[in-house]
Amino acid sequence: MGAVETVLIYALIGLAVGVGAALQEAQCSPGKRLGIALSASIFWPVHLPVLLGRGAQTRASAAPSAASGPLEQRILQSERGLREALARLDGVAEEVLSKEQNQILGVSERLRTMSARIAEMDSLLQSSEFSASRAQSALDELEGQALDDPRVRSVRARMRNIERLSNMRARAYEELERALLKIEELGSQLALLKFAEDPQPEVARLLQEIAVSVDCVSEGLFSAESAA
Amino acid sequence: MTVQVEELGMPEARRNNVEFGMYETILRDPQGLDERLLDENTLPEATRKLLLLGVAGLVAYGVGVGISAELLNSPTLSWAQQLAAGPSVLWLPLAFVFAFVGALSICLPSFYFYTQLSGLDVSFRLVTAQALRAQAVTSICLLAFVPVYMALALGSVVADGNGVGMVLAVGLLFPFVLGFAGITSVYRSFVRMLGRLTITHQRCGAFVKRMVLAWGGIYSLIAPIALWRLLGSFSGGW
Repeated sequence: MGAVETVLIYALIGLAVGVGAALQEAQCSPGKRLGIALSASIFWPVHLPVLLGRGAQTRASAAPSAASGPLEQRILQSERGLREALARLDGVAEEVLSKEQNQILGVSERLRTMSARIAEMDSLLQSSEFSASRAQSALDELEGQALDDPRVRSVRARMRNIERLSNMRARAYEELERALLKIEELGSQLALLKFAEDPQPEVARLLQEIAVSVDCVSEGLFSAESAA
Repeated sequence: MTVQVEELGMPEARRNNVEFGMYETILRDPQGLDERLLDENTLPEATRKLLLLGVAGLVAYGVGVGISAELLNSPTLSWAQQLAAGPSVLWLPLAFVFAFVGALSICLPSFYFYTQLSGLDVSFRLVTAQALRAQAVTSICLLAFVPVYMALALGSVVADGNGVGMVLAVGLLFPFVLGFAGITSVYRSFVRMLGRLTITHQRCGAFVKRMVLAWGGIYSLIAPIALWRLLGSFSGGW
């Protein structure tokens, strides 16, 4: 097969890939679609995997922009900081690194679970059922009634539950923040290990300490919730 | 409640959630690029931008080498005359782009194979994106090197054509030297991603380093041949 035939076949495949790439980007402007089609036609060997393949599932969730709330952002930043500090270390074997990276992932997942519980509590506290002001107005309406009136007792019990949930939420937030600060503190120690001669044992020790402190915080939080 | 925390070398803009363009992301926020490549929603766009950056750098560098080849057209060196044949400012960038991107395309299945052998279950899309990342980083380095190279070429012109062969040889070989920056960025990226990629079987020792060296090895075999053949074809056409 000569050069002309090769170029012809390349161009034909490129045309098909270019059209496919342009059709896939239907939401883009016409100019951008034309650019994508042109690029895909010329460089179709690198566009084709993107066009066809579906990635293998990674254990990472969506990109940072999709993470909601300041807490999620801070958890993501702490995770990144630890990974970056680990990646900067020399003298740590890659097999050890991969295990330690998995440990970081485990820690992050537990922190995200805690953050999700706080988000659940926030959403409950914003609902009308757990609205303190609504409960107070209901109690004010029943002001003339006797204290042992079942309706008054019911509203007061609701107000006590609302207060209990608020306290639980505040405590959960403090515990999570304590865990994040601990991670950041140990992460900075990890970063200093760059200048140590043999950081490997110290790396494992620090990450173990992080995992233990997060476990203590989350266990304390969950046992306080079940006691409540 | 505000708390003072020490950041671990995180870029200021990422703390403030400012979006970088791809050029700035590669230079200042490589972890942000990792996030984009790991997310299936942002991977296609990131891959296109990496390709565009790679091509742009190669074109700019090719123009620089083309201008130098025309200025340093030495009658004593046959290969220098070949490089200056026709409008080398036009065909040299094309030769660089098709040689390097073409070699990368040829090597993609091998890259994927080596990645699987190393025990990392990575998609072909991510392998493509990482390969283009290496090219984009190399292209950025080449962009930075163009003024230096032009100064070398002009110096050779001023010195009455002394060192023509060396200057032109530097122009052809430097993309391979600067390619180490690209391959290093890929290595660091895979090390950062280790905890987030599925590991099918645990390898011992520096398995990521071996994998990346295999990538570099196969590419270093294909790319020079591709460049040499395309230079010959384009220059022979004039």
